[in-house]
Amino acid sequence: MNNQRSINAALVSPVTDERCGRRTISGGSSCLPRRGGVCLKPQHYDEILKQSPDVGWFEVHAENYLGAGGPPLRYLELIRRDYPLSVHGVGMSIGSADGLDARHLQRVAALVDRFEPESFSEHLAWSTHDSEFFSDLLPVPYNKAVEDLVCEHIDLVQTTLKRQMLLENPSNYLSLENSTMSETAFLNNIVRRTGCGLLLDVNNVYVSAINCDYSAEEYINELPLDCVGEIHLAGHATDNSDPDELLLIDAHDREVADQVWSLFEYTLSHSGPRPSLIEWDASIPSLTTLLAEMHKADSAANIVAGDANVIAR
Amino acid sequence: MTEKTLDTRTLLLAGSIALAVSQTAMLPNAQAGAKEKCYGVSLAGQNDCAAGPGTTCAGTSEVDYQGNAWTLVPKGDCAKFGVEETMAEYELPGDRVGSLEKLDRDLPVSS
Amino acid sequence: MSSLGDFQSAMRASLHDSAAACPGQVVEQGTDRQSRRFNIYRNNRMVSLIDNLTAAYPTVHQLVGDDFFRAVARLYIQKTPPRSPVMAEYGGDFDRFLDAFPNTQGVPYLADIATLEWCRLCSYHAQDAAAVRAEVLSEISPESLESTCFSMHPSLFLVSSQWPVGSIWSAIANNADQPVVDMNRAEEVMVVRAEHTVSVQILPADGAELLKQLRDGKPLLAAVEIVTRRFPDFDPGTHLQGLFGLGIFNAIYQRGVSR
Repeated sequence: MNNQRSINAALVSPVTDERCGRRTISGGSSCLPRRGGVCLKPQHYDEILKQSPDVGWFEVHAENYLGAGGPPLRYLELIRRDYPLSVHGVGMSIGSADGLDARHLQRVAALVDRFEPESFSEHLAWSTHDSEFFSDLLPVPYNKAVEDLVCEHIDLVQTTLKRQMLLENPSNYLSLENSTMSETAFLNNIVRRTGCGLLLDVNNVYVSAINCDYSAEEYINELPLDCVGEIHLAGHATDNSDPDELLLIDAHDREVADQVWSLFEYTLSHSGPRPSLIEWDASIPSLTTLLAEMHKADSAANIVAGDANVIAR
Repeated sequence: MTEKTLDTRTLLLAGSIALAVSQTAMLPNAQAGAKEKCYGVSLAGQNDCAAGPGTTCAGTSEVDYQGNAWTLVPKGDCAKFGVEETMAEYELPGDRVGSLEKLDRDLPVSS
Repeated sequence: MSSLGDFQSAMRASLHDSAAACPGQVVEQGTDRQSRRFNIYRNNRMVSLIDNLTAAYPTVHQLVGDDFFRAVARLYIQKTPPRSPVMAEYGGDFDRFLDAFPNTQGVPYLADIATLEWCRLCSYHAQDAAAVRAEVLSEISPESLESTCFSMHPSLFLVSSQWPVGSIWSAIANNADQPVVDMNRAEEVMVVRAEHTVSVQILPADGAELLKQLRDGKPLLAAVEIVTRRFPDFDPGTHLQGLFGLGIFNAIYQRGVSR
């Protein structure tokens, strides 16, 4: 039943590039298997336990598992026994001018200590200001002062969790006046200074490139791809309020778009295989649909790997 | 302590508890379960719903329609639980049925 | 160049007030383009928070309908925005907000239904703990009944309502077509979790009174005396057996001495 889930050791070697591993982080780097994974949703708990589907790994949002007890933690414990796990934070507010919420960081640290996930990641965004939580990932301007602040916060997270974290690129809907550098330059600096890895959300790259009018491929080219410890794939929606100007919304409520699959293949052709997650947060489909998307990611990775072999020969 | 005489109420309670415990112990498990169910009315409900809210790291293509709650009235299943006739002594201000104003993005056409 | 803190304060103000312009630091050409894009963040915030309240209060939502629920939820969010990124912890005083909201007076039981739904959520996420079995009572000597106290399971909650909230909740949760509910009945509803399942029970009035006395720390003998004064036919054995059967006691201890 679980025989297909044996993990090839070569596929789980952590990201080791000098640029992202320059600073020693005790506890090690992200080491998810370099294949497809899916987000773990309560709707699918029982089915997963009953059927033990062949899934590379599961990802959960840290904030959904911070309760004192009850079914969510118990299910996670059972599922984690059989699968590699990624804990993905959505509320750390790394870009908050007020500093990190110490209590929240401690709660996440306790969760990470308990489940010892193969990876921990968070967003380049802010979601809390003046003790109010906004339930959205809000943008920061890219300048030296913000870079210093974000580095300080990532250092604190990595020190507290005793491990490397991955930082995810945001979906952009607008540009900010106080930015003095590109997002990719900003991310390069953060990775170099903190030793964190990247969680490259390919759908976010595509959405941002359309909304803010730049080339998605160039964006990918400008990133330190060796430091990418995980890739996210998700579906996006189109805002139709102005037919003259295409505006995409990172909605995670449907299948991955064709253009995003193409960008995924483009990325893998430069980075090699990576742990790749299907994210689906709204209008959650059946587990079968979710797994079909994951298989598409695995097939794309295999095709890219095959092509690379042909070229190498 | 042992010198203390127990009053009638204590003895009655002790007897009542002893009886209850022995009854529980005597019942086979299945019957005990049946008996427990008789105590209090157990209500069915979809347990899945107890999972409640969850986080997202996505945006939404939904638009926040700004309904004016001060002019709206409840219009769901509450009609089934009719207390309005006898209980509601409250006069609603303005229109009984409010209107909805959407924020200035159009509803996306569902794809 | 203004600081990041100033920008975040300006953005917060613009997120709160849908009539406000987007913060000055946003560079997009034209106010239409600016507001269209900024409104994505406004919508993301408000829609996700309303959706979270809908998930926490599905019965309230169904009782009042979507239009009304979303409109009230929006006012609640404006008055009481979340302080924590843990969404399961948001919305605990929605019942009080509903209670004070004028247009819900035609649905006088609404706030108590909200209280019940919140208790279910809290029970679902409460700490895991073992329940003690009734047999433990047989180890207690009659002499120590007056100092015997009970500690409650962490997932235990009790909702006392002048309305039949348990019956209404159950009818809605099960989508009953023609629910028969005696609207003149008060109900004591108990919520507790055993393993994965949160159960909801309507308790008899005397049993609920015993539970309240024990929950408030009264020793067994004193609790029984208080209940018997209100309910002369009260039979403590049956009720203890019933309450133990529901797995609501976490420990038994002698007052002053932990067992």
